[in-house]
Amino acid sequence: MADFNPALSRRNLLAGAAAGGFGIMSSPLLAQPMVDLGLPGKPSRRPLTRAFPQKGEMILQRMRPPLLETPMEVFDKHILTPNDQFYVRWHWANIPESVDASSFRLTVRGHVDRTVELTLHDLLHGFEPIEYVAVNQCSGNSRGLFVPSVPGAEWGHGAMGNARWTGVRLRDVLGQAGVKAGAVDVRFGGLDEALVAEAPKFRKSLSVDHARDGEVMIAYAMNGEAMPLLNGFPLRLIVPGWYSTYWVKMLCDIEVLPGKDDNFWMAKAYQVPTTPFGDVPAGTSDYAKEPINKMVPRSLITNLAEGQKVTAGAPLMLSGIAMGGDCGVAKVEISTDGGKSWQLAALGEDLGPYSFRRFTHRLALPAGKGRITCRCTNTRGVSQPLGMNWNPGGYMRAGVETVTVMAGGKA
Amino acid sequence: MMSKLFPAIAGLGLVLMAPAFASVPEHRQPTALGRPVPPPMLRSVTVSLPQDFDQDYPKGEYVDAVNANCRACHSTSMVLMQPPLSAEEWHKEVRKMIDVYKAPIPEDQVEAITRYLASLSKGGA
Ligand code: HEC
Repeated sequence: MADFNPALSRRNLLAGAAAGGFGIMSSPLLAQPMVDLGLPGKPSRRPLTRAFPQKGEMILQRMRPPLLETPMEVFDKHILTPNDQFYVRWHWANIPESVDASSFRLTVRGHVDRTVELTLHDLLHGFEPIEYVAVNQCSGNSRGLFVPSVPGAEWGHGAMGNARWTGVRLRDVLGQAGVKAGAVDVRFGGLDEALVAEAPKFRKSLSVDHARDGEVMIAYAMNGEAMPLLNGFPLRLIVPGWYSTYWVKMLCDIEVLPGKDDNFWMAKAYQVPTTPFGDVPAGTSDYAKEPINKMVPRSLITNLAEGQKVTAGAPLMLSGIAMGGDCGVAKVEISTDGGKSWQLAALGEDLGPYSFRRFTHRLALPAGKGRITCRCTNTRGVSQPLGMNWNPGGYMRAGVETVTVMAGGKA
Repeated sequence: MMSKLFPAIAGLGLVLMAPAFASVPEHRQPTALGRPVPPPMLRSVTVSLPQDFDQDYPKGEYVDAVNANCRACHSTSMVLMQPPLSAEEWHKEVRKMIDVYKAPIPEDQVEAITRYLASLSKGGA
């Protein structure tokens, strides 16, 4: 499968050991910067890494298969997340390290009039291109912050990104194959494969109506460029407003199904409670489930770190990012009294309903501990809950987030 | 089908897929933006992903069983970054690896692996 790279592996091996808290750095030259994600009740420190191709500095959650988190400063600096710092998430380590642009084919098959095999050239030149900005967020973003903790990828808040996607409508591509009457689901697969032949290959499905809504896109560009291999080169499914689990990377296979997709990744994994925000009382495991679907509103302050010192009484400029989930951001409010009173934050440029939206707000804090909470309400009128939502899968975290700062005298 | 689609190793040979975007005809302009979208140059890509198959789990009783069975599919960090779990919860994880992800783990190793993981969660190992 993958070629072994001793140089990289040795460096990261030591970093990984240090992350676990068990390794002893034998040489300061090998020491790697670490970040603390502030995850309660579990290992919280992670190395920063530059070891991944086409990627800049990322938080290393797992080397193989790669789980790379975007550092919070990136969201403070950019409303469109740069490709080289866009988070990365794979399930199986059998990821091709080479993609040949001329022999690559996207197949559309199954319950269709004719099987179609499209080249990249066909996709770039045979269909009307479309483009929009959309947030891609992992279903388990912020899972590491769940209390009580749940097993899984223990992410901080950086398993998300916002990009301008360019490609073609899935509807148009399905049209070329001719979807037969009675089609129910459309299933998507990528070039990545399971490591064990009998194990479930990663595949996801959308209902045929969703697949043909004219918004779902087969993207060939991310922020105006070919996407990094680890973000899905050459093609990625874009499902705006839905969690990233549906945004199949290295998309090469589209299968129209005459029935409901019951494959493991649809029927067993990625299940959430059917309640609003997928919320159930902590510890519950018996509830009505459904495959995770639409995203919900979120907001995060990006320019203040937990525990940061600020000057009491002096103007403090807050900056952050908000998302409406499956629609636009209507407003973001700030509270410094635990949600008793709220002040409206200013919103930045509107890049479309599925994009991050910058918010800013000026306030002054009295001396002492200051708790700053932000709350997004989307254009459907849905607000982030004041209590944190919880479910055993660690999905859909979206309750209001609070940053605690220390306001003191002038330094 | 996958073997047919799976691209041959292409080296770094640059295969130009798209001419300059000046050639995008009028009718392909997206309605939403009213401006042509330049197709990117999609060139063949070859990368090398870092690997860590040789990374050991922290020393402890039964570590050999864990090293033998729990690092083929993912880095040790997938296990080491988990919150503390009870023996019962770890047992469920090990069963999930075997039953769902088809990890070829001998049944007589399950107990030893579970013990190691539970003691790791207690701060030992
Ligand atoms: C056959 C491949 C395979 C082997 C061998 C394997 N795992 Fe996994 N494991 C997986 C896959 C696939 C995932 C899900 C990865 C993802 O979501 O990114 C996973 C995820 C996990 C997780 C995260 C929690 C979860 O349930 O998703 C833990 C913990 C874990 N494995 C522990 C182990 C332990 C302990 C062993 C040794 C007994 C082991 N694994 C061996 C395939 C494997």
